[in-house]
Amino acid sequence: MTDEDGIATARRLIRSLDGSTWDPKSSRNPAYNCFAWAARESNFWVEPPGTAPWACWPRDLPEWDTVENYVRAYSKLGFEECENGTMEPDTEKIAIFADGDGAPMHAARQLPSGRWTSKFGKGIDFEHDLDTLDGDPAVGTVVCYMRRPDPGPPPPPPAGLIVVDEIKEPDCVFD
Amino acid sequence: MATDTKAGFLGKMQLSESHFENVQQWELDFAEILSSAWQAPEVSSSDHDKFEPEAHHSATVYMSQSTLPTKARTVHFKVAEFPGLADPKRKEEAGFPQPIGELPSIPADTRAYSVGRSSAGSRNEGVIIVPLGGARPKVSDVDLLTALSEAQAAVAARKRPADPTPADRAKFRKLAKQWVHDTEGISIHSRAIMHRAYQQIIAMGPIAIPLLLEALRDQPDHWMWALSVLSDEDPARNARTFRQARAAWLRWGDEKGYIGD
Repeated sequence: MTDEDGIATARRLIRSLDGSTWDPKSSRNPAYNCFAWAARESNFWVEPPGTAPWACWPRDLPEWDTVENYVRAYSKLGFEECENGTMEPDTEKIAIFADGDGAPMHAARQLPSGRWTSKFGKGIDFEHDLDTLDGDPAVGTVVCYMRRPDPGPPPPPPAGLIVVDEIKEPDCVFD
Repeated sequence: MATDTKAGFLGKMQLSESHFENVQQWELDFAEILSSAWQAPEVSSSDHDKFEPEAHHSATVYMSQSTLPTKARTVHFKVAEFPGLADPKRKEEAGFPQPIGELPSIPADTRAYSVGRSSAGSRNEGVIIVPLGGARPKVSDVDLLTALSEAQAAVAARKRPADPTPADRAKFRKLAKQWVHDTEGISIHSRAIMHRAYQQIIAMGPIAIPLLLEALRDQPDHWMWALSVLSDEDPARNARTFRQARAAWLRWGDEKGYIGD
């Protein structure tokens, strides 16, 4: 799948992008997901490891993909729940999205510019306004905001999947 | 030149570095493997120092049925490097590779050929042909470790399903494309794999294993769950990232002979 395919896929599946200002930033990469990217990580796929034993998840948390458990996972990285996604000085915020049944679907991270960055499934990263995504059926509705002290300049969007046979990678971000 | 005309395909295997750490166990394993096809083999120690512990070796194993003894109590064998493997022309002239079930012509006084030794990470196609009879070989002629690896491969590869047909490939391509198309934006793996197309791929059975490995190699995606279900193995159990899991499965696929470089 080319970068153009990834952009087209995002356009096709996130209908609210139509007519909005959004900026693709990275290539498709199945190695990490939105929940990882919200925590600045692009080496891991963050999810309870039931069907993906290689996924990154706090060892002491239940292996259920509930919003509550994602909140607990992010808490281990210094986040705490907050009221809204309004910019605050020296603070980094994330938003957790869920579907109508309350199941987590997506997470986005606020950038210093006030815009937000999202990784779309296995697809591309892109910058957007939070309102653009909030409520789109492809990602759900924001059900929780969290914040932590600003850890510094955000990482640049990663390159696409690097394919090599042997990879030395850091331990899971929660380890 | 007398030849054997039929061979039983036993399979492939790949050595890992750990195999070189316990030669004695290899000898025991080899004896056990041989005894399953023949009977009560006698395996002696070998000139182990000859063997360079490269990380991976594998071989396709053919075994002569025409000379297979039914009541033999001792198996004599000799393994020699087959010189033609690295040269495709010579390989072709020598009759390698042959379709499964057909045996290339070999000299009657040959105990065994071992071919395909190669370095770590590369594709190893080898053949071992073991007709019996004739003079007992000298122990010094026996490259026991190579023989062990290939005989063990034979047993492991018996479980390997047939190669996918063009129809299998077409079906897989269609289902895989559908799955990627529909689940690209899903960030929860456990939901993406519940998609009907993914489940239909699993329902194809073990014939999908080489197709999944090829897809994982060429267009990396989350095929590891289907592979673990279909193979009932999980070589990526210690992986903590997608890339590590992918690498572990591709290594597994190469070891099992499903895919090459």
